[in-house]
Amino acid sequence: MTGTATLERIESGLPSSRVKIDDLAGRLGLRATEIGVFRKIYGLDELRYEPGGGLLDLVLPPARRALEALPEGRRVDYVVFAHTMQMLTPPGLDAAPLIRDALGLHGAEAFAVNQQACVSSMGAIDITAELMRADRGRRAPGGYGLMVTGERAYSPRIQLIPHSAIMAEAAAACLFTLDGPGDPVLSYVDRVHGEFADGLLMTDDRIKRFGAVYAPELADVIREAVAEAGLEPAEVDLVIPHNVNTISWRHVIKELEIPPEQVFLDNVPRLSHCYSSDVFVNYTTLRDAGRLKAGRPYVLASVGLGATFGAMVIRRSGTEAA
Amino acid sequence: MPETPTTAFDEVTAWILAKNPERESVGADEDLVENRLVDSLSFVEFIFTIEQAADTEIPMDTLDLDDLRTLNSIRKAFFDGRTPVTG
Repeated sequence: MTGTATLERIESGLPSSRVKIDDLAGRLGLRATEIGVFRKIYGLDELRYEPGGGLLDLVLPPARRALEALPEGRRVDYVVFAHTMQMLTPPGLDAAPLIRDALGLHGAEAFAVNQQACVSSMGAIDITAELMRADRGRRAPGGYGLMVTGERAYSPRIQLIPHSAIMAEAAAACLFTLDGPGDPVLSYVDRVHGEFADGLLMTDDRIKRFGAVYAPELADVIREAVAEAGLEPAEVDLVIPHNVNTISWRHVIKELEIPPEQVFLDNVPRLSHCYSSDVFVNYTTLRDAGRLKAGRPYVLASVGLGATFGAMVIRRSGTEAA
Repeated sequence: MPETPTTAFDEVTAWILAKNPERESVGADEDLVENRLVDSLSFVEFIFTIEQAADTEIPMDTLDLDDLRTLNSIRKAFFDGRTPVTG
């Protein structure tokens, strides 16, 4: 047994309420020109946003569907809630154990990961897989982890990343284990740049510096993850990205010297950037459209304010012949 | 140091050079987006600069992104459109 993390089932969920970005101009204090730039230059159009919706209403449905893949008689040892914003519940309420209990997984350990912002979902799987490897000899083998994402754009302050993104609502869940039959994680790389720790409160000069390093650094992290997986960028079937905007990804594509069609950007105008959920939501879009090919490698890639650059290489389970 | 603008259109070139102090000039047909002379964080400011220099409001609903790609296309779309940029 190699102790390789394997993604056994990924599910996602979206609020039914579709909103055009123009309709958020008042709430976000954006002028017509700024909305125009978000639409024409950044490639945004529509997103899911349900004012007043509850956190658990968003998070639980995909988590329940992912748990349907848990084999009979097997147990979930960890429930990890990965999120971007630090505060998603009123003080005194800890969302992770609430989610665990609502899913009936009372025997699991529950905790949250949000230090990597929008990279936290991939980071949570990496961290939890390491915990599961360390558990060998302490727990009965064959346990599973459940990573869940999902957060509400409850305030304009956390819905707008100036000059970058308009945040939207979505949720995802990933059931994973070690050495299972699912998609193996071939590599995971993340890098934290503490100079951008102020996140949404960065000064203009710091934002400019962040903009300068964004594309080359993300490209470099992707290249490193691909190399760690023993692959060349050209061998990757698709990059499954976060939905921050199309112009940032165009710059990353240029840095990577790969064809634009090798990065899946179709969900940018449909869903916009959904905090930590994007890469897993996009995975389900591609899978449900039959675009993930058995045996082929894919790169999940995201950037979190703060700033963390992350990339995970997985191989779609099964064989190419299948 | 970027030169002091002498025409309305020069304000656009001056803005780009001010944002990219390592550059001394911008090619008339150089792709401003692909070459990251205008990055994603400053596009709104860039639009406002063009609007101010051209004394016009850019209609975002009908804007063709290609109109913003090069100095020549900007001149053609928002200024007189007759004199090619040679810088």
